[in-house]
Amino acid sequence: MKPIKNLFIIDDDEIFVFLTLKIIQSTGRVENVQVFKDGEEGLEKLKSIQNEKEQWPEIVLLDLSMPIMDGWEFLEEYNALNPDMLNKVRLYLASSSISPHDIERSKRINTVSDFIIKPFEKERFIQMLDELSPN
Amino acid sequence: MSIQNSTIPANEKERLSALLNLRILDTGPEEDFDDIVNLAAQICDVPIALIAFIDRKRAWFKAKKGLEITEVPREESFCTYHLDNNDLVIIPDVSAEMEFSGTSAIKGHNLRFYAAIPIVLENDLVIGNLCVLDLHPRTLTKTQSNGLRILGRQIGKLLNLRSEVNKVSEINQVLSHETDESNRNLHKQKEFYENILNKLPTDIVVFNPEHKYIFANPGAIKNDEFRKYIIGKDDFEYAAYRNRDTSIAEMRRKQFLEIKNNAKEIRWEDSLKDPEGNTITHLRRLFPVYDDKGELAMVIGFGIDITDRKHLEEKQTEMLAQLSAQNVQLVDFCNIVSHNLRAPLVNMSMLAKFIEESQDDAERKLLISKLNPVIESIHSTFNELVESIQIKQDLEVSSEQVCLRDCLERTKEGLRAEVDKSEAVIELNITEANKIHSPPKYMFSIFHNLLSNALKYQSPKRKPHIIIRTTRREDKIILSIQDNGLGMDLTKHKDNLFKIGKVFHRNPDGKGFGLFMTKTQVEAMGGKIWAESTPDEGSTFYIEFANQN
Repeated sequence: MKPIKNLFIIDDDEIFVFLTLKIIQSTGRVENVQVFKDGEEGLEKLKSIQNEKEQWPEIVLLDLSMPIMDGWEFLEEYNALNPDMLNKVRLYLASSSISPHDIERSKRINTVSDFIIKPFEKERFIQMLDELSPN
Repeated sequence: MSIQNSTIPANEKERLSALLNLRILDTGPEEDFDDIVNLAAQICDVPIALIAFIDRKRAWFKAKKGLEITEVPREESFCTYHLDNNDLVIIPDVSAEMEFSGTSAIKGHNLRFYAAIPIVLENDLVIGNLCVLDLHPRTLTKTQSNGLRILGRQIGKLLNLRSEVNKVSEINQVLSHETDESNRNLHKQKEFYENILNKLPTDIVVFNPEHKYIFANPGAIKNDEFRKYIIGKDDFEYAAYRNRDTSIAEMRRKQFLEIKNNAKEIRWEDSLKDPEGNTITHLRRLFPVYDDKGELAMVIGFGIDITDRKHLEEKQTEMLAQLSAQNVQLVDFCNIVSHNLRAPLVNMSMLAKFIEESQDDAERKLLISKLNPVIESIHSTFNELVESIQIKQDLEVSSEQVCLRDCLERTKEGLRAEVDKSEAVIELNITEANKIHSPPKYMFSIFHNLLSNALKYQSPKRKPHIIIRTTRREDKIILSIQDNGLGMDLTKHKDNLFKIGKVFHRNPDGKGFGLFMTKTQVEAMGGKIWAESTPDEGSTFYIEFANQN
């Protein structure tokens, strides 16, 4: 199985990030993981690479509740980025929210591939990777 | 044959009723009858003459000459003895007639001569006599007898006429009574309806098809003079009369023509100020009324005061807005709570799973060390929740005059480390109001939150300079806390500024709970909170405290 090159985590919860990194490592299928502590940091990065195909992440894990710029605010600006990049990137919302309102809202946004209710399970992550590069 | 029996004729009943119908008994003297009596006395050359009507038990004298008494008991009168006779009776000497021997008339007046012509009504009923009497026995000449007969007939005619007049006047009376009655009824009815129209607490006006007023009630025009004036006039004439501009008249004319053309009612609301400056709202309706032929007969306009309803509606709208705001707040609150509590719980369960699966002691230790901050986070979230729920329950917390200087000193004490480290300058400018009526607990909490924010989000480029001010506005005090810190872009964060869990700076201490708490406390006191801010210049938070007299 070919490993994916880039994965971004945009989340302010240190413990969650720590554990997610452990899961990712344990699969051995991701070459490079970058972590951003809020929406703004993540957005800045994506903006800066939107014309550099090599650096595009295959997967983005986006939290909803973050300081400075939360997940929704992030998505508003994210959707205005280079459409080619958006087509390539699979963006997953990963939130501890169980609000049906949030889930509904996420479904109305085309660029969101799925809404994952935390906790983040290893099995789910492997499934994500498989969807991305079917054997 | 007894006297009694002989005096009652066969048709007594009819006779009496005819007499009573004349309504002549016990009436006063009348010239017509007096003349006849005088004439009779003259013609017959006698001292006494009279017109006697024979009632049930008496002979009553309508006219008399030479006699003082006005009546005698029936059995004592001569007249009663020939009620069944239609022609002249002449008794030359009464004393010679055994029939009359018991009458008082003879005893009292010593009467000797008696002649009488019966008074006959149209239907041959004898109701009395015209009598002539003398104190000496004598008789009448043929001329005298005829004269007496003529006078007798004359009396009959007079009485017949009288009964006709009676009948007519009776009819008249009935008629006039009826007319009076119906007039009274009409008047009553008119009063009744006018009363209703005038007393109804609405404006009512009625226009003819030419848009001239044909009715206005006091609800529409209070002043009697103006109300009278307007009848037969239109709004333009009225505007001129009252020295008003014609804009209303023009609008009304437009509405009137609209109704006339479309044959449909129109309704609208208008608001105006009463003399006390209160807004009064009326619902007005104007609708056409057609006659049997389908022609426009009139246009009725009326207005109902719906001020109360309007107030209620406004209150409802306000309450609805408040409710939906509260609902949004509640949903927000629930979501944030679920996130703030759920997030650490999720972390805990994930950590537990990892610890369970870990084979490596060092790794396991690392994982266990991560548990502590998660537990702390749950703890503090839990405490914050309890605190904020308490505020919502604490609405009755007792207020007192809180001295702002003391409050600041206590707050600075609590934030000593931060104040000292940042070398912050805190200025107090509270000449307009140095005390605020509030629960002391809330006041300290507000000071603490706003000051610690000002210190937390200070600019790295300068030392914090914080100014605390009070301004008085009527019964309100506005407390402002101004800093020269990082500031925020409020166009972006305005809606979220006071929401729970919203953080706008990369500062590890920001948890997004302080301003939410402050707002909750301020609102629990019936106050308001808002902010002004410029990125990189600083923020000012304003709190308005109500009822500060």
